[in-house]
Amino acid sequence: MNEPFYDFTVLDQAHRFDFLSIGRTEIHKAIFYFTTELPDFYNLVLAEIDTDGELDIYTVSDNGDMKFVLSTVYKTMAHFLDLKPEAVISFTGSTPARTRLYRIALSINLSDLHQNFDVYGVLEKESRPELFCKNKNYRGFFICRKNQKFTWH
Amino acid sequence: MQKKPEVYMALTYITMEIQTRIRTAKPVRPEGRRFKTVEELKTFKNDELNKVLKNLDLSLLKRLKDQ
Repeated sequence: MNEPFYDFTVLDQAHRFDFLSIGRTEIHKAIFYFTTELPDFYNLVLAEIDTDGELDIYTVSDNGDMKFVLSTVYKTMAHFLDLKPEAVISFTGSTPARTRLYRIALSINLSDLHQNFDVYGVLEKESRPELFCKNKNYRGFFICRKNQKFTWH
Repeated sequence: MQKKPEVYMALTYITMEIQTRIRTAKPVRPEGRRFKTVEELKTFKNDELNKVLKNLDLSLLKRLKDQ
C-alpha cells in the first residue's frame, strides 16, 4: 500500500475522486463512493470515463499500471474514511475476474490494511460477513476503520 | 545458416509491424453496458450490491450503529 499512486481530484464533497491512469495510454478514471439505503454504508465503484463522457465499468484497459490504480483506490479510501470515520465501504468487482483481482490485492496487502482497517468478506449464502481470510471465494468486501462501535462477528 | 538479406528485411519489417500494432492497440472493449450519467451508474451498482448483500442480516449493522 506504499506503492506510488496517481494524484487525484476530490469532487462531489469527497464522494468522487478523478485521476488520470498513465500507462500505455492515458485513461480518465473515477472512483465513486455512492451512498446507499443504509446510513454510513457506501458503495465503492471504479469506472472509466470515455471520451464521450460515458461511464464504463467493464473494459479491461490493460494499461500496464494496475498497481498504481489499486494504490490510488487505497489512498482515496483512506482519505474518505478520514473524513467519515463511521463509514463502511463495500465493493465488489463488476465481473468475477475483477472480484478475484480485488481479493488477491486485499490478500497481498492484508497486514498493512489491518494496521488501520477492518476487512470483511461476504460469502455466498452467509447471513453475515466474516473477517477476511485469504483464499476464500468472497462475492464482496467491506472495509471500515478499526475500533468502530459495531462488530460483525 | 546465414539468412538471406531479403528474408532478414522481411522479418525485421514483420517484427516492427507487430510492435507498432501492440503499442497502438486499443483496449479490449467488450459489449458491456455504458452509463450516460453518474446517477445511472449509482442505481445499477447499488442494485448489484443488494444482490451480494441479499442474504446478509444488515439489520445487525443498523442496530449496532444505532446504539
